[in-house]
Amino acid sequence: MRYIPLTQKDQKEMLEAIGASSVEELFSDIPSAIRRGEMAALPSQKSEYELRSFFHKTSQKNVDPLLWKSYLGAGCYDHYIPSIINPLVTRGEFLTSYTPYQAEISQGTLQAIFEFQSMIANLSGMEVANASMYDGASACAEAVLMSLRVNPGKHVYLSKALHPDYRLTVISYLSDYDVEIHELEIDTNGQTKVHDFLPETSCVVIGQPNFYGVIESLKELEQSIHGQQALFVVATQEALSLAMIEPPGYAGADIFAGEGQSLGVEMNYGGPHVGLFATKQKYVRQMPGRLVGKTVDEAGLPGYVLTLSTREQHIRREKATSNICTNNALCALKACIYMACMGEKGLMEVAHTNYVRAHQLSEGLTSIPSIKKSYAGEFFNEFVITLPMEATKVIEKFSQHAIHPGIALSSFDPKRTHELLITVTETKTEEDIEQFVSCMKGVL
Amino acid sequence: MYEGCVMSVVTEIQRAFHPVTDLLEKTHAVKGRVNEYLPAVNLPEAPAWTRKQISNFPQLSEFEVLRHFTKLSQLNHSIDGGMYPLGSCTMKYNPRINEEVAGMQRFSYMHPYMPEVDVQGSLEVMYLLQEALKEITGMKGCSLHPAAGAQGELAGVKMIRKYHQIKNNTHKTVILVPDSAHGTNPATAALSGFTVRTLTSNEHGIITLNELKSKMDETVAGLMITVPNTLGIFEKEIKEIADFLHAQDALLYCDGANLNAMVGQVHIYNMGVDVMHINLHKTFSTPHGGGGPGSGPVVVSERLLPFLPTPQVVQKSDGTFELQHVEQTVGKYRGFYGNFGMFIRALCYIYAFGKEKLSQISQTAVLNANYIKSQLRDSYDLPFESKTLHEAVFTDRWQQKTSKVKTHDIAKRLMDFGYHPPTVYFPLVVEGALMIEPTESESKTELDRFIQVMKQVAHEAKETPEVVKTAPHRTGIKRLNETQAARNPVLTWNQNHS
Repeated sequence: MRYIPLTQKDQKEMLEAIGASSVEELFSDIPSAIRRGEMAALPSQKSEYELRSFFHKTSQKNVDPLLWKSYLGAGCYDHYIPSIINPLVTRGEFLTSYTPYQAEISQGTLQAIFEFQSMIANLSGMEVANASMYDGASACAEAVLMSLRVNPGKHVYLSKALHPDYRLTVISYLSDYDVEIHELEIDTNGQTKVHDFLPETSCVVIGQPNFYGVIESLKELEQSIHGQQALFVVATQEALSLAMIEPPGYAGADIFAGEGQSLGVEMNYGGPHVGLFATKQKYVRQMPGRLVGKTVDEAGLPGYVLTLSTREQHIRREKATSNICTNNALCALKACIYMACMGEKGLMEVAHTNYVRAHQLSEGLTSIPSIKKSYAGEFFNEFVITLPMEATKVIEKFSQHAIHPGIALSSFDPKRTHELLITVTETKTEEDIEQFVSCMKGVL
Repeated sequence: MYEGCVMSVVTEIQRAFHPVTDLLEKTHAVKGRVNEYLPAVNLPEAPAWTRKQISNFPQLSEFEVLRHFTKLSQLNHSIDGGMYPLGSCTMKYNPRINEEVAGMQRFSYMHPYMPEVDVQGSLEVMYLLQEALKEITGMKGCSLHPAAGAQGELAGVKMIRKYHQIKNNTHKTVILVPDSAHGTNPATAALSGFTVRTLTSNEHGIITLNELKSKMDETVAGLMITVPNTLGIFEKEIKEIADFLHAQDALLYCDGANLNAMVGQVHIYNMGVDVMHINLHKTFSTPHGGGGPGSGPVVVSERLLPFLPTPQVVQKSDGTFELQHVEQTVGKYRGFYGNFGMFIRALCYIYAFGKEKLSQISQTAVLNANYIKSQLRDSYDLPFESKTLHEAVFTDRWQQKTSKVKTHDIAKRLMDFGYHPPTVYFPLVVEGALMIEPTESESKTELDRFIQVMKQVAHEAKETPEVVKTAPHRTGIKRLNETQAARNPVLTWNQNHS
């Protein structure tokens, strides 16, 4: 087998050194009743040539994403990924290293994480960020768990416009906590309405921009939430929006949790992506996940280490702040390189382009009399329209033009049959937008 | 005799470049630098409410960025660059064909909300991996959903919880965890609202049925156990333990961290396991990436089949694939369906071996570990005489006694010879543990070299202990001040500036 270097001669010599007569003898502690035997349902061994053809052939059963125009978003976005990212992250020194526990020989990963933490803190306007989480949904759930540690309570409020997967993940993580989860309604603008919370409310979670693409008025929400002694958690499913909208840290958020896929990570049919997590300095010891800190070595030279690990499971076991063990380091590295090569100016420009393109399409579509915008509120790069026919029918018709026009809201709420969530990123041109509008006219 | 013979590339380059580049940290708001990744667009003026700047954010040219990260990469040890005998982490070779197929744009550019008819290839990959993991373990159901091993544990323990809730077993509030377990086990049990009760390993390093009986009562919901355990020892009484638990309506969670020792050898289902998570980044070669992304599918027995995380990929009668909601599910623990990019790599690894050769993984990993154990047992103390599988756990007892050289020192000295240290101070049941896992990937030549270096360090510990106690000597950076890092955390470059 090409991944196994031992020859029969090596094996023989090694068995002799061990004092065993066969490899089989090394497994003699395993009772025969539970030995595996043949794995008949697996296919036969494939050569590298066969593997390449097999996966190529299987990939052909997917549509070609370079020919199709996708207007899908909802927490996973089709953004341009600069060419330098993948060659860098697939360097064996990054790709095949382990968690940087041994700092002296892991300074590359450690410094890159420190840079990632710094840029995420600055992008979100928060004081400190961690080394990354699994994804946006689980980061959001960890934010609620952290709120319960910082500000213990019996109630948690989630905006109804929070991404449905984020909501479901919070519910799953909290299923064994003595905490009641409530939902906050949204108004005709598509913005979350706050009211008087029950006593002992730990935190309130708001999506920004929310699942319907609408930009929330964080500053107004903040006054009401902090006025009632609850923690303010902002969850972002589209990290690029941070380069255009006033970030959660400036609006007084206590915890920022989000999805960083937009920052140079492929859509990958839903994963792996990269969870973002940031908070205020004073809460740092209650944070989940890994943290890299800057320090010095014995000679006084600057260097980086994993720090505050007494919060973590491998030290605290059942008293840890989270059971999380890995971060999504390689995806965080992609985001780190993306932010570095786009830079402040580039990020802001791309974000602005998204905003402009999305507004062009929205205007084009609402010029069709039978189409209404579902919400009046300002949006970033996605918006919901109400159609005169079922959204799933429209999606079917658009597929003849190799266009994925959006996501039917009926996938999340069966009652919302006529609504379509549309996302436009910088990968779409003005011609694309004109084509979309004329296809829609043809369909209706 | 070994002096200077094996200085690692990492150390040489570290010396040349240190102090490392601080370009990202220092280059902000450079005027006149343009970004031309995308076609030029004439944008109208941004609305008044938009953000005006992102403070302390880099502005570099592409080549500067490339060189910066290339330099950083050269400061890392990696499995590509040298042996990584890190016990419990299964640092094996990551074949590049895996990267190639996972990078095919018709996989990596797929959006999770595309209509199922347009992503049949992706769904097929997921279905095939579910089936392969079921066949390898003999289990009855599989969900690929969890983002990593620890999240697989969480989903698994939540399934145990749900099983008892539905049976109205409200009194079952305790999860048993052996003293040799990974920290994630008790942390996960606690996160799921269970109380943790510890089982003690015996003098042979295993959990016995008698030990289980002595800690068992009607409040026990289940046992989380790692097989082979973190000492590398197979839990010989596992089947009896499982039967006893089941007789009391308690379930068995198997931590799959050490599956590499069992592939093709052990029928996990017949062992009596109700749920196991599988770390694709260990057994099935998806890259560790400096700490993730992992992927932690769970496989289950009939008892837990109805509660799998949602959705599942199923094959319809017409041969096509769809995502199906699981009615009594424990829910979702992340967005979308799982780390698809890892599924395709793992499937590619499994198919590279196929049914004929998959068991060579465990055979070779176990042979390699036993070879190291046989060659080092005169140099380092072996805390248990028991037979071991894929890893060998030694201690620093002899070195401590003769010259007060500790495991920590031995670990740091190994870096001078181009090796990543073994896992240290784990499992907790062994004082000063040095846990070595060579995996199936290393050649005999490399194993012999590692053995020689380990012997050399043992020799130094006796003859010139100061050399070991003050190691590393050849890395560009010396031992770092971790106390200062924790006492006064500097977590961003903003704090650095102040």
